[in-house]
Amino acid sequence: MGADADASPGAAPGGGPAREQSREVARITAFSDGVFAIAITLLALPLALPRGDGVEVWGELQRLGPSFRSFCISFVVIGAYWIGHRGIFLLVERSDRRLLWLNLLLLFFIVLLPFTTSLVGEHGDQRIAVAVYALSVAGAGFAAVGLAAYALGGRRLSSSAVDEGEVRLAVWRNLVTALVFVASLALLPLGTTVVELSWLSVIVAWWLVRRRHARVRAA
Amino acid sequence: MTIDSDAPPGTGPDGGEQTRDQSKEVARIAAFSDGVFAIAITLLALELGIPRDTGVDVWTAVGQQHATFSAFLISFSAVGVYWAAHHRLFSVIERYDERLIWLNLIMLLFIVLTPFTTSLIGEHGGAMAAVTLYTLAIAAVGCSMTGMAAYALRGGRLGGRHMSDRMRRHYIWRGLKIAAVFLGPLVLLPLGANVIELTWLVLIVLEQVVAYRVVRAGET
Repeated sequence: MGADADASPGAAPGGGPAREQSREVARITAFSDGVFAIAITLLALPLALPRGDGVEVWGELQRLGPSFRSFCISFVVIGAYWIGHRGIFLLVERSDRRLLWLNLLLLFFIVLLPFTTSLVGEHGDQRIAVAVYALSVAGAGFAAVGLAAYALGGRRLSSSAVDEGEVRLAVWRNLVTALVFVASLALLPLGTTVVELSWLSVIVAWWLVRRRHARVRAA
Repeated sequence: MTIDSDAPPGTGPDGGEQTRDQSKEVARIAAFSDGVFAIAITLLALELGIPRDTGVDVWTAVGQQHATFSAFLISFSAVGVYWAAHHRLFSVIERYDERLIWLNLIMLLFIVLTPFTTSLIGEHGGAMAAVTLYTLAIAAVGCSMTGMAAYALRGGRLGGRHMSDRMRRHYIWRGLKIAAVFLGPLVLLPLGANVIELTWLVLIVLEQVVAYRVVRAGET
């Protein structure tokens, strides 16, 4: 934020096409928000008890424990990616075909998450399930960083640079999320539980990024 | 979660631009939340259905599934009432910061869980664990909504600076009031799920009437 008034789309020279461009960007964010919202809601679908009478409810609920854990992790991850997406698009003023495709690439990984989340929830003891999940989370993060680099690098689709406050924070957070999940795969030989626990360190990573961001801002 | 607050918004060098951006971003947060509410309330209907095979007529089959249908009705009302309260709350929020977004996401987490907990009482309404879990999950939405409202409106932090104290209290406590509508009847648990569900429906309507009167009195 903090873009100089000139840079605002409405005030750009030749208001007509600029306004059209900003409407185009608004449409991309609205579409993306819809996808994010649906994906984050579908995360809960694997949470289900067997139907029929005579089901021992409390016991079945305990059996859902791993699914519930993966639901919570993915909810926070998608939430954070949504915040990151918002942060990046704060500065995007124009769109082009490549931006659309990069955005779709990000959404591809977001849409995959309800599936990979149910994989970890139900087969969390299998390495392949854990690896696929970690890669799908990391894929979304790298796609978001790629999107930011394309749109804001060299001010291609924006009049402001990546290093502006909230956007910088968003990009860094996306990057560390991706890195944490990729790095967690190195722990696979120690067992899937270790890998799953290591994912919690993403919260520490976010906290560090935010602290650094606050310090840079204060300086 | 990283929910320490951003530098206070609206303090940027170019006030006007900042404010416009802020309200656009608040609208985007509200729109995203609307999307989650809308999908969750629609998924509630997935549970509805009657067995394909049986020779019984539709009316009897629906009768046999009455627990599923009443669970749907209650959750639809609950999510609807929460959405309306959320909608009103966001109409007075003018600025945002990251903590608000996270508090909002926590509330949405419990909204997202409602289709699951609804299927719990629809299928296994007889089990105490099912009814208790359902109640806690629904009440958690209200509690987190009050938390978010208190954060946003106390001292006019993110909006409602010119609001009367009475209205501010109403906006802040509204979520908890809806939560109480669900938590209170839990004492009737020994009487069975049907009694609790009926009480919920009556109380939801009453709470709506009371809230409507408060808002009307505040506006005149």
